[in-house]
Amino acid sequence: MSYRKWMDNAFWETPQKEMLNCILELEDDVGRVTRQVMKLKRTDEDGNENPDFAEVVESLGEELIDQNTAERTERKKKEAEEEKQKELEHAKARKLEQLFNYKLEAFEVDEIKNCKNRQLKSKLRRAKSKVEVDMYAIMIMMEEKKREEEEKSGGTE
Amino acid sequence: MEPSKGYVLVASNKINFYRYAINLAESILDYYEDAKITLFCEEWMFEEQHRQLFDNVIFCGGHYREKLNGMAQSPYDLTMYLDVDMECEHEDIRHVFDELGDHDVMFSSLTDDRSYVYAEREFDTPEGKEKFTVCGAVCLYDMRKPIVREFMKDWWELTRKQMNYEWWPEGYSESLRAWDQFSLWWLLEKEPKYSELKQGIFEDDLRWNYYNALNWAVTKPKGEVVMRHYSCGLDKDGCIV
Repeated sequence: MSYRKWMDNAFWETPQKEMLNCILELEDDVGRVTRQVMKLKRTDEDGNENPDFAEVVESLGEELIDQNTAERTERKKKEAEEEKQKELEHAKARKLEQLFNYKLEAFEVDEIKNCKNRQLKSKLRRAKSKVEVDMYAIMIMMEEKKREEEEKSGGTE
Repeated sequence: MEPSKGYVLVASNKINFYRYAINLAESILDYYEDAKITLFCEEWMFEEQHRQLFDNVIFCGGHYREKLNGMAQSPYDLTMYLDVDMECEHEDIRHVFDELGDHDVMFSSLTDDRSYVYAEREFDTPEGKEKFTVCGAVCLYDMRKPIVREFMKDWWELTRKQMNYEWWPEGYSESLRAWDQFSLWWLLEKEPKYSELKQGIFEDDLRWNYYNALNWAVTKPKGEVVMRHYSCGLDKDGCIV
């Protein structure tokens, strides 16, 4: 036996409740079931009431549609927040990778590589930004230069 | 007598692995000055100035999975093996050996929500679908136990054989051949003699092997990250300078 029914997850597309988003389930004479997503306007262009719209509201009740709409809005808001958070964390991970590669590059600079000041090297490794890496890299370079000069002057005395 | 405790790092095949290893060793020493670290690396990679970072430097072959050979040759009773593309960022690294408890060997776990950081996890077997459940990027083990020594040796041997096309079980995808995860899975799941091996998962295991990409995963460690793993975002063949 065929039937036609509106599924109970319909929701308002607009706050003015002028459009419904709903699914119509149909069964034909040989028992095949199909579902059709529909966006129904309350009235047509001439202002005539849409009978399908009225049927959905009648069969599901405005209260259930309001509830579905509120739940969907909340769910969508949560999903958007999660997506935003994910993107933020993703960007943070990429930034850390870039920073890690940048530090490795710094550690390959001869003066830094050969530096014996473990404390400064450690600070460079723990740096949280490229600016901080640069700062400690310069400090190490200056210290190395100073050491070289001292060695030089010590050698000529 | 107190068991000896130390960290094993292995760099082979690519010069970048050596550079990562130096950085990793220095980062461990940043937080644990007296740490004993053994480096396995190829002779051509080694720079003498780095010797002072290590308790031992042992030259090894250039196999892509030479790490398993290094693990099997650990000079320490209690050994923490670490993939070299990691960095230490917490002083708890000195306490890692306490995690072993009465286990023989410990790994970090490979759960469904962490799957996406692994190239291949699920696979078909003649008995049905399977998936890797432990990750070999970090491994804490007790070399005083004969079963552990044998296991480490077998893991290396089996991996070498599978990658050299000397061994492969029927009914398994060829794509798995490249992974030491597969030989690990085989030994733990299919080799009867290792049914007695007491394997465990680190408590709050993400602390000890936190893939940087997991930043945006749902799972995060309860405590602070000790070892951050940069595996996913590194160009291992690229020039650092």
